[in-house]
Amino acid sequence: MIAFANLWHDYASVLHKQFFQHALVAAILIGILCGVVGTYVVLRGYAFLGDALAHATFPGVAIAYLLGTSILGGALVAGLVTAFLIGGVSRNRRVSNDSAIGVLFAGAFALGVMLISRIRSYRKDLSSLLFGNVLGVSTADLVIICAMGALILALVFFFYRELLLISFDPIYTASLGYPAWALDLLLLGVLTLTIVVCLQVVGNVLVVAMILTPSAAARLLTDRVPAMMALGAGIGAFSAVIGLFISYPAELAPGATIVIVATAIFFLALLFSPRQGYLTTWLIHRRASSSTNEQVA
Amino acid sequence: MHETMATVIDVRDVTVAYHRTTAIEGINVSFPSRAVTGIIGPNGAGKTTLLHTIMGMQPHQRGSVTLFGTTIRQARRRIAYVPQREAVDWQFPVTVRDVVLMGRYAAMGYGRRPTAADEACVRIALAQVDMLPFVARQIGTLSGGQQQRVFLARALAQEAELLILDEPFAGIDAASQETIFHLLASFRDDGKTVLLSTHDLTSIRSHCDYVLCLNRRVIAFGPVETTFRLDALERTYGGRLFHLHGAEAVMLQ
Repeated sequence: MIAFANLWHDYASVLHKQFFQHALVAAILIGILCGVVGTYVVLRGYAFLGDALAHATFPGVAIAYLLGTSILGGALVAGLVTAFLIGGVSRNRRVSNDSAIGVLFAGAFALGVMLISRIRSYRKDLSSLLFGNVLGVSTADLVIICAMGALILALVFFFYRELLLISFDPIYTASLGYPAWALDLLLLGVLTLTIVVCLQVVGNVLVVAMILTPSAAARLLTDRVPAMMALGAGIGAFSAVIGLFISYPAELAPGATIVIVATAIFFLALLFSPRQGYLTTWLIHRRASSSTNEQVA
Repeated sequence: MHETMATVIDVRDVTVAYHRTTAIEGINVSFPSRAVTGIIGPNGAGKTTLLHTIMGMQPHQRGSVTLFGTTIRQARRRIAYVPQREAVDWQFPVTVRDVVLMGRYAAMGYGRRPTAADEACVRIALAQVDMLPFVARQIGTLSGGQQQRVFLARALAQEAELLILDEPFAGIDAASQETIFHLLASFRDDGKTVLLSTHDLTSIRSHCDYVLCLNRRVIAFGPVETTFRLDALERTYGGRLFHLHGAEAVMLQ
């Protein structure tokens, strides 16, 4: 009881501190953004590509860091260049294969780590770049997150139908005369922007989990795309808040804790989803078989 | 020439190759308008490749394709395409209405919401394929035949003059197949044109007006009565036909 009162006191005092308010707002905004964009990543099957993209932004982050310029800018340039490369490569069916993408982006990631290792304070810098530093979000960072978030949401909602179409049926999309490769590129571009915005909160390694996990959980809970976006955004924002509140007093890495909360929600959905949950279907089967047993008896 | 013999798709000397293997070679066909034309041939004969080439979705190394006397770019709005049913994930979280509405996207344009006219068009198309009661269902809950009818409704919602269907009868029940053929026949009777690929040889004689026997090259093409004969089928399928469809082939002769 005393421990609980202390915890409550901790929260009450930290909630007044600006750095925590910033962290909270940034985490909630990013949670919402990830849930919406993640819906398309899940539906288009771009999880692996998203991971590759996130890793490919790292050399950009490293170079920007070494030059002392904007890290977001560096990540954005590296990410967009990579998105265009992937878009170009996947147009040519011969070159597109998982191993090539995997090899290339693991290499890019290694290059980033190598560049960072030149700095003397390398361990500390590296960890904040790899795992994020949500408690260090400045007012200027918040403005950037808001502006880029608004741009991403505007793109997603304006092209809602076209992105849905290419995710569901690429052949039919092409038959209607849509530039299928341009729509795929648009999705990769939106994904890159989202990765870049999320870097500061969850870092390079976990950014894909932040984008993917809430939407994957939402996918288990609904059969409608708009509901999936709303639920994904809700789960993302909820994970962000709960993750921050757990991590702060326990002195855990906030980005990782946020991702763990989202992952826990995903497993809960996997077990208890009303129509396809493992536990739910098991219970239904058991009830069905016990009632037939009774009839037999 | 007979009035119904007007050409809607003109394929001239078309060759398509993937890497070093030739998928179709030197194809010359003029598909007649106001008719149901079936394309038959064994697996790997190039049926889908030919359909994709006609739709401008598959680059060809040689030759030319003319639709309605013009290019696919100019003619696209007059054509509706129905891909193979297995090409999509039917667990995708959309309803029957959402899928059929996709047939209206090209007419709606970017950034527009569907109008009452679009929604009406969706309902009419669904009524035509007897799927209106399923309008709010998630597509994964439908049977194979029902899914195929939803795909057809999506194409009908485009209000096109030419329907191109890739394997519309693969893995569907006989009742759905009859419904679809009945609909395609009325589509033709309205002065429109149907081109479909199929593995089902038994339905060619009863439901198609023209047949194209394809095996990387054109083996035979013409009205079903004169073209759908044992010698053409033998040359299309080789010896395999006798093992798989022996009884039917004899019956057809």
